[in-house]
Amino acid sequence: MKHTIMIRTMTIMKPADILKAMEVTEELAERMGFLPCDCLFLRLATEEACMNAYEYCQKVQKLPFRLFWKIDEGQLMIVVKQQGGCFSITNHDTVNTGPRGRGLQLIAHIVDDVYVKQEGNNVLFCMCKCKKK
Amino acid sequence: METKQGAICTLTWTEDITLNNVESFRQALETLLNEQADYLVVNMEKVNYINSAGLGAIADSVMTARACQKELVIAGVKGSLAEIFHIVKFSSFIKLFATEKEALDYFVGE
Repeated sequence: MKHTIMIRTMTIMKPADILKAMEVTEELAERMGFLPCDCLFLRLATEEACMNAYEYCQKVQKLPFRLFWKIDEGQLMIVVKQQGGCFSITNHDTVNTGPRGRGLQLIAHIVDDVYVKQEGNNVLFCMCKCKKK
Repeated sequence: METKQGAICTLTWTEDITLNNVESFRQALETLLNEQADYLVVNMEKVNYINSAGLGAIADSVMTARACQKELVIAGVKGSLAEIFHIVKFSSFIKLFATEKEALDYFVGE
């Protein structure tokens, strides 16, 4: 039986693109048969990952960045690819009463695996979510 | 939308909170904080989705209210919103209620 991996990609240049990317994630997750609450949370993970990349890339004038969705059987992988060096994703799962710093905490709870890897001049922020059997 | 009931003022927010409207949400919270009332309720019964910027705006408003000897609580916390609040441990420093009535009862001491 032929094994098919589906890949979709999008360039993010402005906030409206992030809103579109959130829709794409939700649509793909629904099509894969994720539960409605998982689809909503994957949309949230997409917004958080994209906003982090957008704010960084805008600050260092390295917009646009790219987003990839890879569907392999029951697994959805969302990858944010931006120019720049590797960064730490240590998740301090503590109480935060401040106005910022909850994006990664949310992502780490939503997806099954999250990691960062360097690829030449780019850094890849990868989020993996498996469908419950 | 804001309603006043004695010393209690309520902001009812009915939209999901994304990068599209988080600034309006932040401004609405600021307006609520500037009300004369000491007891503030944000009713989020119709909200299913909130991003980290929206969560930050709530946390910031709760802490600002406290610094001004006011108390801000959140009502209508259920479903996916409750799960998001649970992830960021909001219940450890914010009073959360499933309904607006429960929040109002809390303030009137019932």
